[in-house]
Amino acid sequence: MTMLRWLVAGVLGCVIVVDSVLTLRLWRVAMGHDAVARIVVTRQPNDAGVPDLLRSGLTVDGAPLPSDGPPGPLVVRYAAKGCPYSHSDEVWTSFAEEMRSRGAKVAVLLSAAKQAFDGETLVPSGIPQAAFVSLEWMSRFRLSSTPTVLLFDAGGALVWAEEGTLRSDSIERAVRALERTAPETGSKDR
Amino acid sequence: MRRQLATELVLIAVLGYYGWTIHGANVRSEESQQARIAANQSFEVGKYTGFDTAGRRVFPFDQPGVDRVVTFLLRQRSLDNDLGIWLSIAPGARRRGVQLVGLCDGLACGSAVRARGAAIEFPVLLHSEVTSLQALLNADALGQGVVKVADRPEVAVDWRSPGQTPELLLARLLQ
Repeated sequence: MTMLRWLVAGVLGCVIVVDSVLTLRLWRVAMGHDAVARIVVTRQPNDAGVPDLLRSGLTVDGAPLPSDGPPGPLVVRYAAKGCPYSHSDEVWTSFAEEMRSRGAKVAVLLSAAKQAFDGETLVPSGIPQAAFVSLEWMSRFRLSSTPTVLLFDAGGALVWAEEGTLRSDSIERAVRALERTAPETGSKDR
Repeated sequence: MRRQLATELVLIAVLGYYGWTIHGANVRSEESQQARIAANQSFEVGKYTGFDTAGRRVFPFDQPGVDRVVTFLLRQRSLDNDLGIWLSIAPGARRRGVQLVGLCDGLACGSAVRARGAAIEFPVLLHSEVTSLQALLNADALGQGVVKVADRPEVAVDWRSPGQTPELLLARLLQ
């Protein structure tokens, strides 16, 4: 009888260990199943050969976007001048400032060339606006509503995204996502 | 023993919860993707302007005599076949006021098209607007190109389906 009890206890112990591992794995998957999963078609960091938006996009005039400077994170805001939500997003300004303070570049991806922001409505002022983009870059994402914010780490991988106007905790979540991937991508070549 | 059973029950409950959450998210993701594709079918996608493989600006509707523009995706892995289909109808299309516009799926395709130079009788874009690209991606996923007639809504046309002939394709473009 005692032996049977030990046997049952042993089996239960093993099941608990296996389930704990499964629970941990599921928890990690569930944590990652956020807006990024809804937007990404294929997870291709830049080292897979697809250049980032600054190297894949063109301005309204067809000029290349400024892509000089040290490698770092990149924030892409898919937006349009004619979209009221792109204008009324109260968190966006703080979000962009926070990301810039962390060494990120910020750029706008326009839904169409005629949707380019002018001097006063472009926030932060002076950031590059991509009006034309290669299909190679575009086919990695599903962009169907403005505004949508995409955050890429220094290795070019999409680490965080949010469709619609940003929420009050968006900055915190984006920073957390960026910090989580920083050690992994720090050694990657761009 | 009771403690172990209780632990196991809690773990099963947690697994069930996360499993259900992920399943729900997958379903929602699939549903929203279908909704987006449906919505994109009626996108006002502009006029398929962009920059070709040589970096020249392309305004398809600004060509004299053009009243409809047909845009299609050129895939690098089937480039010869894709180009063959459209080059075979290019002269007939041009005579009937149809402007063909190809769109490369990447830099490799762009280089291959550039190397062929004047042999390709229609513009091939390497860069275009997001809404145009998204609509074309959605159409191509179904083996279709997009036909835009002046200010009318866009329509899709099958061109990758087996059994397609240049004559049939041209006839469909003109419908």
